Amino acid sequence: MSIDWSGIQGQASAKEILTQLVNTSRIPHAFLFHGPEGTGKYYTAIRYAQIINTNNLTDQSVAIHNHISNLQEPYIKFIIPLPRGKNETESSGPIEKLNPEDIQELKSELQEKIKNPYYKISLNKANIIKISSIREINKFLSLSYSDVKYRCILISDAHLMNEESQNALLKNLEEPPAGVVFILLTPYSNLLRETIRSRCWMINFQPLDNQNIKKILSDYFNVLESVAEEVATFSDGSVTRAFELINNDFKSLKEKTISVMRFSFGGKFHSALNEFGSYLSESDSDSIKLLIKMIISWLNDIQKHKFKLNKYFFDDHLDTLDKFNSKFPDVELNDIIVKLDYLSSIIKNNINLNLIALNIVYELASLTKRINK
Amino acid sequence: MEFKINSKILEKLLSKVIPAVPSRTPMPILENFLFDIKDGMLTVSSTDLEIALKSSINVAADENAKMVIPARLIYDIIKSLGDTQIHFKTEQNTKIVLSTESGVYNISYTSPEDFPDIPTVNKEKEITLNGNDLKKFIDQTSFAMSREDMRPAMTGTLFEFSEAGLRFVTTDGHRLVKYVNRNIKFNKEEQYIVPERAISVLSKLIGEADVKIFLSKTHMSFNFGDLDFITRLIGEKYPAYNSVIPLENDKILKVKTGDLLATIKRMMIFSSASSKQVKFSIKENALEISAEDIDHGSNARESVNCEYSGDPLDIGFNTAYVSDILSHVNDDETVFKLHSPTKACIIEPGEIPENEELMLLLMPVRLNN
Repeated sequence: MSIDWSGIQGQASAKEILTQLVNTSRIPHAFLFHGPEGTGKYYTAIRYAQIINTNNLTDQSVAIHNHISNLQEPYIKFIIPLPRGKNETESSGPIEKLNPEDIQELKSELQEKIKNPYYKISLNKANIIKISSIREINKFLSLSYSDVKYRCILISDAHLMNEESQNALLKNLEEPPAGVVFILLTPYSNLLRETIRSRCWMINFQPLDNQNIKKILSDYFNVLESVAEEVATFSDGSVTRAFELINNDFKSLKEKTISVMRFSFGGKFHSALNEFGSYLSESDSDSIKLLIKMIISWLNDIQKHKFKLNKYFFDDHLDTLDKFNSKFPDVELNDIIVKLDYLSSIIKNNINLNLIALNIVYELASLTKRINK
Repeated sequence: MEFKINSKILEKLLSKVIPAVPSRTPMPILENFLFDIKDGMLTVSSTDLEIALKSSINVAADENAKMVIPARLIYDIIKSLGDTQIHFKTEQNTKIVLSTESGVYNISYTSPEDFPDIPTVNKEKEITLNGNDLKKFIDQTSFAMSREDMRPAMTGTLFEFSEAGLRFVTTDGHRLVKYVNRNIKFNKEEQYIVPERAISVLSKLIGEADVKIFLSKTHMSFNFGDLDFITRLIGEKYPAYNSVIPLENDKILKVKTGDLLATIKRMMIFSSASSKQVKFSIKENALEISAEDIDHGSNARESVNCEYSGDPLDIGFNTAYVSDILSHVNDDETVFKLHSPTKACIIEPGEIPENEELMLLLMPVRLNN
């Protein structure tokens, strides 16, 4: 039987595996969808829930389809990280103690996610899946639902379950009542306990190719094709990252990257730092990571150019690459990429961003022997 | 579509249905009423997916319509209108206009497709209970439901139908309540577990009138004449509670319920906050009750009149549980059936109406000397 996966871009192997499972009507009771953010894990899970619930069913299938698209219980129980409420105790429900603004934010984010399955939900201060959410699953499972074919428990960002929550989940994950399917979604499956992973059917999601990214950006995010085209190359196959780049004004980010590097390579430290300064003043600490990533992509291009490979990130700056390689034919790039990576990783430790900027400029300058280390 | 209705009548209807509207939910659709106008009948329903309420009233509407209306908004406005005639009218399929003599109120509504289905329970299995009886059963038993989610079955009330009568059972592992009504017989043995939320809403809805109960595998529905209450059941197996009820308890202690309860209330003040322990020292026709808070160096002791003829016995209980149980004995006299300091104790009222049975079971706590 052919299955309708329309709208879900890429992920041929994941679709194939799921299709096979449906066709053999052997539905595992737990899945772990594992792959980078923004590659369609959630969308696939929702579609899968629709398929298994409406398979061989004609009369109510449209209604069930809509219920699932709208994340309605009992067909879907959607678990996401939530902020902690004021005076929240062990026995409070997951949203019982949240203030009205938080609830409002939660509702509108969920609405956005329902409308656009590639949207990334981001709630303020929501960095853990609460144990009360897991307890709620247990309660939900205890109720009698033999009138519903499959109830899907969708746990988004499953790696944000702490030890306690993971343990609470184990029992039901191992032997859920009949007609229950767990789908755990996470980019970091190695952060989950081995006992959780071993109970789940693992399905890998690959980074999307540029064509898919472009299609999703223009279909779901109303991004202009020219912008989508440009960002797709830099997105690492993730819609979330592509959208992040667009939100951070990709054009100017790209220009900043080029000018920072040009000044650094040329030994014009003051101008390079000025560029950084103006960039930092109008963006938050996370966006400097984007800048570092852009620089690494550029260095990557240099390497590729050396070996005369044809696919470049900065393909509109080919002459610059050419010039750089002819002028500095034997620079050692590995060290500097490792250093830049390290600089990017210590930002979360609340380090002074100007210090990071200074380091980046000097690292780049050392490449062209403007300074000696 | 348009119709007219008195505000007080509508308020009464909405107030019956609003308890099932959840106050905090990430699903906006649940914060609405479903208004279903069909052949001169207005049916209002609400649900939080676990329980659902549905009530109907006659209206002279010119056509059929179905719409989803924000529950709090419409309830609050109708409630604050006073006694007046309201004219309902829909406009452009998105707005409902309520007009009174002096005011016009516009409320937007949405289409009913996304509203969850209100389950209907097959009328095959039906029993009728007197409202007062049902209320009594629930009041007598609901306090002992477990609040811990580890064993979901125990978080509800067991309705057990059998040839010997209708049994209501609740337990949290420390105490157990069994209430039997032998008048209501059923030809098959069947168990249904009703969740805690349903029981607490139900106890507020029950009035004097008879209640019709319809049963299905997944739902139980209560019909109060003009109001339907439907709850989903807990789909687990209830623990085999009969096996924990001891049969060999032969030491009988009889006390006045009021006296003992008053004493226990005073002992609660003295028992330590962590163990909440109270000690019963029982000798022939003498009961001494004592509590001690070692941390604060305080203790208390009282004698209570009793009838007892067995061997002397010291037994400890949790004061909060004893107090809960005594408040639900419902008779002047309470009978304790004991066996040993480590075995479960059975508590029964001195007298109980014919064809009823109330049994409260309490696990003792180990005395620490």
